[in-house]
Amino acid sequence: MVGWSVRYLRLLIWLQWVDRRATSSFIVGITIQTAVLSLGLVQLRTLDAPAVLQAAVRASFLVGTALCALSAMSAFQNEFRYQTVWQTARDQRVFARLMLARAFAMVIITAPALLVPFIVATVLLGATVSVGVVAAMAFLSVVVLVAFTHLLTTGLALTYDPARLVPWIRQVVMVVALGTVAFLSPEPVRNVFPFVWIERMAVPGELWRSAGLTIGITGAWWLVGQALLRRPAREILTRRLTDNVESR
Amino acid sequence: MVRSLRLLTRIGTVPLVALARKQRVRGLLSGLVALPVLNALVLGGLYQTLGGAGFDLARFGAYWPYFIAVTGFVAGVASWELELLSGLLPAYAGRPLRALWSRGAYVLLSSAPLAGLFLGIRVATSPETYVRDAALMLVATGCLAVFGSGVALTWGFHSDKGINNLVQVAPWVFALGPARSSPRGWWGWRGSSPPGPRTWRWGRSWCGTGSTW
Repeated sequence: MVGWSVRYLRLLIWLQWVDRRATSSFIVGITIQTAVLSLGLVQLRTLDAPAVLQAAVRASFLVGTALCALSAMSAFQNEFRYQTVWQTARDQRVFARLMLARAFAMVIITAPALLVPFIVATVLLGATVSVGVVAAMAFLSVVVLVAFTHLLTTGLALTYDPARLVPWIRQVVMVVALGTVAFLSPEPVRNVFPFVWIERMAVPGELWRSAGLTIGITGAWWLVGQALLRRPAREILTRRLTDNVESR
Repeated sequence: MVRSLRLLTRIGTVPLVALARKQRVRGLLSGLVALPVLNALVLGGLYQTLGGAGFDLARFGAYWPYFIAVTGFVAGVASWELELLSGLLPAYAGRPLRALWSRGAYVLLSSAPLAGLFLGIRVATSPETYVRDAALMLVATGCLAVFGSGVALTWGFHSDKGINNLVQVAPWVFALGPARSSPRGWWGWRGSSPPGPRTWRWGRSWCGTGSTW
């Protein structure tokens, strides 16, 4: 285990890409999806800048939350499937770091699709929006998605059937945390999640406060999630390693 | 006659019974009712509730053609999934009625929730046209389901990912379609009154005002 070297991360990114490429719907779906969402953005261009950028954030997370769940579902299981767990699980800290690195790699290969809505929004809005603000929003979206994917990876390690849980988690994020269905998402609940704060960065004068809150809330979620999930995940790992040992 | 009808019913429902056994009632409720409804609501609200605007059910309901088309198509495609997984497909060789019956039962079951949702919204928001809408929904679901199951039959059986790929890609391909099925179908600025200059508000928007939710 090379740890945090750039070379190792590049290897993981390449592996993730090969994994995803195997699912042909990944490329086809992601391309058409991004095109359709961008076409939708074009139709919104008459709105004010914060609303268009909010739409870009939503489009980005609609694609991102679905795709990164693929990695979150398989990162833990793949260690067992490919029998690499015996190397990676020697050191718990190394294993935890590997999960984070895999989440990061997944977000990196998804990044082109995540960034397209922001680029389209910037082009549409022209001079009415500063490129720096949009870049900051896009960057924080990516950071939030890494934390989301990592938490999801750890959380899904605890479940027996992640494929059944993932659609629900994703719908809850889209409906409640992002507030796409306004009547199902009370404002106070929405504010507990980092997503709406990224959207609010586009509101004039709200940039720094919203950016700070995005980082703070994401960090808090990540720390609390890790504190709660790490130990059970470790237990599951140990249990799976010793499962059926007698009958081997 | 009665015996053959009974036989037909039994054969037609075998995949459905297998589906229910595999997923249990809870799995069916979440997979065929709750998640598709939430999915449609997310797509409908994605670009509609921007800047603190409420979720307008009437506007969402006006775009039922897109959602019904996708649901019918996906139901037709997905109706083969169980046959594919369980290797039942050869059982239908030379028995078109049998295949048709089990397709129909699955399509009815899986497109009923969304059709019900949109019909409910239509009844509540534009009661003068809902009978016509219901008839159109039925016809559209039937046509698109036949189309979907045909597409799956000709294209999707080469790998176990085939069906899943079609199901995943269908909503986005349909969104590129004409008129009401195009992207504006979900958020529909053009379909309804153009958005005037709106004030930017983040406050208590979720409970809505007036006709919006």
